[in-house]
Formats: sequence, structure tokens, C-alpha cells
Amino acid sequence: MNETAAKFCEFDEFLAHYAPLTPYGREEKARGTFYSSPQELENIYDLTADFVAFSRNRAALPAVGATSSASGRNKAKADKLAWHLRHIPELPSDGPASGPAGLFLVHRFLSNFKAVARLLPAPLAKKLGFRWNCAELLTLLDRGAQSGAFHIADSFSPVLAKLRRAITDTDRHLSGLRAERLAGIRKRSGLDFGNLDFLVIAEDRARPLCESGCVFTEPYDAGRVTAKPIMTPAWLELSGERERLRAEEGKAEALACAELWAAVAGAGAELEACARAVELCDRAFARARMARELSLSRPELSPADSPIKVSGARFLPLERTLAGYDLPYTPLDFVFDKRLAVIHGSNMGGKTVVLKTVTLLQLAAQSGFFVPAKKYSAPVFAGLAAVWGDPDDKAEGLSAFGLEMEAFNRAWAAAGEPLLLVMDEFARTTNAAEASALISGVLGEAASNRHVHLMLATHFRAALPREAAALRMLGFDTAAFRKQYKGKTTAGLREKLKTINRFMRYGLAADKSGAGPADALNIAAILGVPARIIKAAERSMEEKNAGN
Amino acid sequence: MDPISQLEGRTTFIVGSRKNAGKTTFLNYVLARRRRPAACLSVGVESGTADRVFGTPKPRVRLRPGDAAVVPASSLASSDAALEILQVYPAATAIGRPALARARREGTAEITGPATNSGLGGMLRDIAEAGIDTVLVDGAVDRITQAAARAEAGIVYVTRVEPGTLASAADAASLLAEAAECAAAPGWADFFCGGSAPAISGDHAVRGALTPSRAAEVPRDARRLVLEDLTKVFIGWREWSALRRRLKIVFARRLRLKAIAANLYNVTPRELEARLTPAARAKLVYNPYLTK
Repeated sequence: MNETAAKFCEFDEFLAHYAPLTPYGREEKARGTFYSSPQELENIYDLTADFVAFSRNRAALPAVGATSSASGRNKAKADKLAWHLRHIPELPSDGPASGPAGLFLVHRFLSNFKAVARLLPAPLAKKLGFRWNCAELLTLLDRGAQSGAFHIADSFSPVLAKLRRAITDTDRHLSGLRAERLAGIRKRSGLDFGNLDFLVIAEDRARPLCESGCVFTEPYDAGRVTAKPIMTPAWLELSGERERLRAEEGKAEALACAELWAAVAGAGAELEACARAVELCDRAFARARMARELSLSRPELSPADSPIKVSGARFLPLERTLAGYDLPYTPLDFVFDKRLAVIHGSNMGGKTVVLKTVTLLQLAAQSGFFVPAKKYSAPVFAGLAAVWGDPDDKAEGLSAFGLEMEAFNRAWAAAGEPLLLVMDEFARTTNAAEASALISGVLGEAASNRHVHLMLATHFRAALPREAAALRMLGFDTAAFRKQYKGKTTAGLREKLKTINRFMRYGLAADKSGAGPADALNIAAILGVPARIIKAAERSMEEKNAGN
Repeated sequence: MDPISQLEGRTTFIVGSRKNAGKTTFLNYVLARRRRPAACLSVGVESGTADRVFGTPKPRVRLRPGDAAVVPASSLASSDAALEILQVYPAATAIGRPALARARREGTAEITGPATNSGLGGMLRDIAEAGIDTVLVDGAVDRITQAAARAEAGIVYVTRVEPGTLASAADAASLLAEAAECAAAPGWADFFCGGSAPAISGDHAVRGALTPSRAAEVPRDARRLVLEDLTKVFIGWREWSALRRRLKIVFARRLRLKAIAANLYNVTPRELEARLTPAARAKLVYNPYLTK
């Protein structure tokens, strides 16, 4: 259900700016939780607001009374916080089976957790659940850590230290014996292995070396063999001893690793609490960065049945597109004070944008984000749905009309709980009379269901129940356009859009007249529909009006 | 030509003409002869499930103290190089989590690598952060593209040449050497990352692989054929030569071919060289383990 709304308002584009830094935050992003508890949402907003204040700096957001050095310190702290969060790994879910790699992850997690806890102001750290109860475990793991690297160090086990010293001594002796042996082979045969394991030599050259026990050969091709030096019995004996020591070292490492994992398991509950705190911190910090980047503001959650009030709202994808065309974006102000709203208006007048904007704001707010509006106040719904003729919606055997009805049925099935239902150009693919009748039916049913908050944009006229407000987009300023252009046309899509944008008055008003807008022909003309067609259409309109 | 001096201080992809061409053997040769600390990893199908599925031995390398390698985390304990862990990456393949580890004493380690190009980029960054600038990547040519471009990487092409494959091996090496000489067209880089095509008259760009059928579709009036990089060339020498006669071929990202390492089996150097273009001959090195 919420998915249709998300797609309609291009929520993915909004979410693309949400960049948590830890695996825990990224998981929360992937879950895409839709919150319907006002208390939960207020908690998330509070934390986001705390981080907005924490990371405030003079350049981005001047703080009243903040000195330059204080704001600089905050910026530096925010940067450090981001660095440490970015370096927090996910705790291994496979526990001891993850071996030393898992211990590395636990150590890195705790080192960065500790640093984050120190950077956060104490009240905020407390709110997030940053309690430092793992000092003992970190001190223990620190014994295997150096400059961010981790290994099962000698200090974990006296046996390990002793074995490793023995291995180092053995390696030195082995290296000496090998060098001695290779020098002997070189002297005898001229073959210089250097530090290579094998050489490829002519078969006839290898034969005497083979017979004298200097090298072991294997076929390479028809005339050549790979030759490997045969080491002396002393080397072989010492090599066997090295293998034994290495096996002992492996056992001692495994034992030390198991002991460390026992300590980690003992701190399991604390580590889980740390992971929860990290997720809370990461998501609030990421939401705060996003709020600053996109100039978002905290939504106000109002009681059920309250009006939806919007001031200075921006539909971000459109704002970006218009910026690409060097066109100004007009932020929207509107109040939906009735439970049902029917919006009429010009083609390209912004009906769909109004619906998309309110859907984006509500979905963002209920996903725990600040919103792209100066002010947004709305109740909390159990679900959002959009019925809008999704071009990707396909089902075998169903026409566009069939798919739209199917989408409506799916959305309506959720009307047992508070639902914000957005319908754009409903029934657009059928005839005007039946479309109007269908819209009347939907409005009637929605009027009798107090759970439903409906916003419907349409060109069709239908009888409205008293629970519904009739609204219209201000539309195209035909008089100003005619005065300016006097029948001239513009070339190029960019110019056409600029012209429409210049004369379109974006905004909502109460629709008292009940008459439809009459500027589709102007828009069509600007968009380059041939003048003869436009003239014929105008004549047809005049004849129809005269007949009426 | 001394291949070692060509490879130190940079990232080099050691790619093979086919399985068992001798990539890992060449890699171990470089490791035995280089003078500076190095890092190794593998990319492509061999670093993931295939070796486990087919039961073939996974590539092992010999490390000196201070060298680094991307290893399966599950193999850390079995390496005798006393590895210390520098980074652990999320599990991406059947072999589980890869880890970047540094040798604390001489020994061998099994190498693995990332599952994705972005994973490769992250590993190369971590290796650079560890202060190692000689990086040797064992593996698949199709995984080079973006990471290689970022890392200013070079390629060593290892080819196994036998009498039955002499002609095709020589053609492949010649084509690669010719392609590596082609000019760069950096203005097209965005196009291959999904951006729009720059308006350059006479240019015809092909996204993805240049196959024989796509080569046949290149317009007659095109003056330049733009490809992402030389790893996208999937046509034979004959088709390549025909295209080169008609138009100029350029690459949005230029990859540097450092050497063509030929492992000859019952083929003489003279027989191979007679079939190579001058550009390929200039890059030729023979099996470095060969001794007269």
C-alpha cells in the first residue's frame, strides 16, 4: 500500500539523500519503516533535532550566540563523529565461528563505539543509550591490536610467545640451510634458483642433476622439465620440526581465540545494547545531515481528523528538474481543512504536483524524516496509498482502466484504519459521464468512512458530499499571456516550458464557480500543436457554448 | 625487458588468456623478485565459488613480512605467515568474508578477492591506506574496468602458447598490444557511467562489449569508434584490423599494457615472434622460470 504512494511521489529520490554510515543504519534504511505511532515519530524527530543542533556550524546554519570557535569545534566534532561511525562494522552474527576475523570486528566496533560515546554531549549520549559497559572487554582485545590491526598476539598466551620464538629461530636455520644447499647446486651445475621454487630447464641438462640427487624433475614440454631443488636431510628434518611447531602454534592460537570469544559472549547483552545505540545515533545523525542538506523542517503531528496544513512545500524532484531548465520553483501553500478534497485545474497547472507534494511530505514525516516545507502539520495515518495509473503497473488481460480499478480496490482494502488516499486523474481512461459517476461513487463511500482522508485530482465534475472541499489550481494567466505574446509561438521545449511556467499561477484556492478551467487550448498552442487545429478547437468550443 | 621494475609502485592486473595460463605462477615470480612490500588479491570467478565447486586448488602466494593479501577470513588460522588483520569485508561469496591481512613473518596465504567492482575499489583504497603501493591482482579481465581506471593500473597478459594455439594466441596478444596503443577519449568517460553522449561529430560509441555483430553495425560514415576500455574488445584480430583500416578506435579509459608474458610449450620464441605485430613483440617477456 505505502509502496504505491512511495512510487507516486518518487520517494526513492528523497531517500537517496539519506546516507547512514553504519551497517545498522543501512539496515534500517533498507527496512524502510513506516511509523504510525506519533510518540515513536516524536522521539525520532527529537533525536534528529538534537543532531541538527550538534552539527550546527557557522557556515551552514548560523547559531544564535554561537562564537566562531565554538561552531568550528562543533563542525570538527561532527566530522569526527562521522569518521568513527563510518568505521563501525557489524558485529559478527556467527560468533566464535568467525574466529580472529570476528574478534577484529568486535574490537573495531568497540574502539569506535567508545570514541563516538566520547564525542556526543552527555545528555544526547544518554538519550541514545550510549552506556560504556565494555571497557574490560576492549582492554582485553586491545592486547592484540596495534594501529587498527588485530591478531592473536603473544600476550594472549605465554605458550604462543614461546612457540613463535622457536618458529622464528627455525625459519632462520632453514633459510641458512636452503641457501647453503642452493649454493652447492649452483657450484655443481650452474643452476641458480635464487629465491624461486623451481626452474624450467632442458631435459638433457636435468638428467645428471636428477641422477646426483640435486633436483627433482617433472615434464614441462617435449624437451624441457621443471626442476625443483632437493633439500638436504638436515633441512628436511628441521622443516618437519617447523611443521610441528606451526601445528602447536595453531592449537595455541585456537585456544586463545576461544578464550577471547568466551569473554565476548559474556558481554553479549552489552554489545547488543551498543548496537542498538549505534543504530539510533546513526539514523538520527544521517537524518540531521539530510535536513541540513535539503533545508528540511520538523513536521508537526496533529490529532486525528485535524486539517493538513502546508506552507512553503517543495516537491524536490520537480524543483531539481526546473533548476535544470533554469526555471524558478514556486513553493506550495495550502490547507486541506476537510477530510475529502477534490482538486480541479488547468493542464500543467500543478494538480498532480500538489498531490505528489503532500504524499511526499506525509510519507517522509511518517518515515521519521524532516520534510521539505517551511511548515507541515498533519495527523498520523495507518497507511498511505496512491491510485494514479502507474505506467509500470501491468497484469495480463487488464486494460489501463482495469488496472486502475484493481489498484483502487487494493488501496480501499486498507480503509479499515486511518488512510490517506491520493487519487490522480481517477478514471481518466473512460468516458466523461461514467468517470464522473465513478468519482461520485468513490466520494460518497469515502464520505461515510471516517478513516479515509481522500485527495482527488480530476478534470471531471461530480456532485460533492458536504465532507468534501472543492479546490482549484489558480491556473494559467490567459490575459497576461495574450497581452505579452499576441499569437506568437515559441520554439524548443525549454522555451515552451519557460513560457508556461511564467504564466502559470501555481497555488490552490476554493473552487466556488464550479466551472472548469478553459486554458487547455492555450497550453496546447504553446506546446506547438498546429495553429489550424487550435483554431478549429476554439470554433468548436464557441459553437458548443452558443448551443448551450 | 625487466617486468619487475614495471610493476613496482603501482597496481597491476595479471590476466590470463585462459585457465591455467600461468597467472599465479607469474604472480609468485614477481613476489619472489620484487624489492618493495606488495599486496595481492584475486578477482573474478576464481576468487569465489568456482574453485570450491570444481575442487581446484585456490591460488596461494608467498608473502614476506610487511606484505599484505586479501584472504578468506576462514583461512587466517591456517596461514603460516602470522597474519594480522587490517580489514574484514562483508561476506559476499561462498568462501565467506574476505579479510585484508598483513604478514608478520614469511609464509604462504590463500588469496581471494571482492565480489564486485565497488568492493575491489574499497580493497585497493584500504591497501593504499596500509601504505603499500605495489598491488598485484590475479585474475579476470572483465573485472578490471573501473577499479583499474581509478588506480592508474597496468596489465600483464599471461598467455600459454602451444602448437595448436599458436596462431590464435599470437592474434590475441597482437590485438591486445594494438588496443593498448590506441588513444584515450576521456570526454566519453561519463557516457560509459550512464551519462549522456558528448556531441562529437563522426564518433560512434559502443556501450559494453564490442562483439562481431556490433562491429558490423558501426556506421560507414563513422570516423572514430569509442569503446569503454580494451577489456571490452571481443572481436578477433581480422575484424579488429578491418575496423582499424576504416576508422580510428579510441578508449574512454586507457589501460596500460605492461607486458605480455608468454609460456611456450613446444613452441620456439622465433615461431611466436614471427606471428606477432611489432607492438606485441615490444611487450613480450618469456616464462621467467626458463633457464638455458
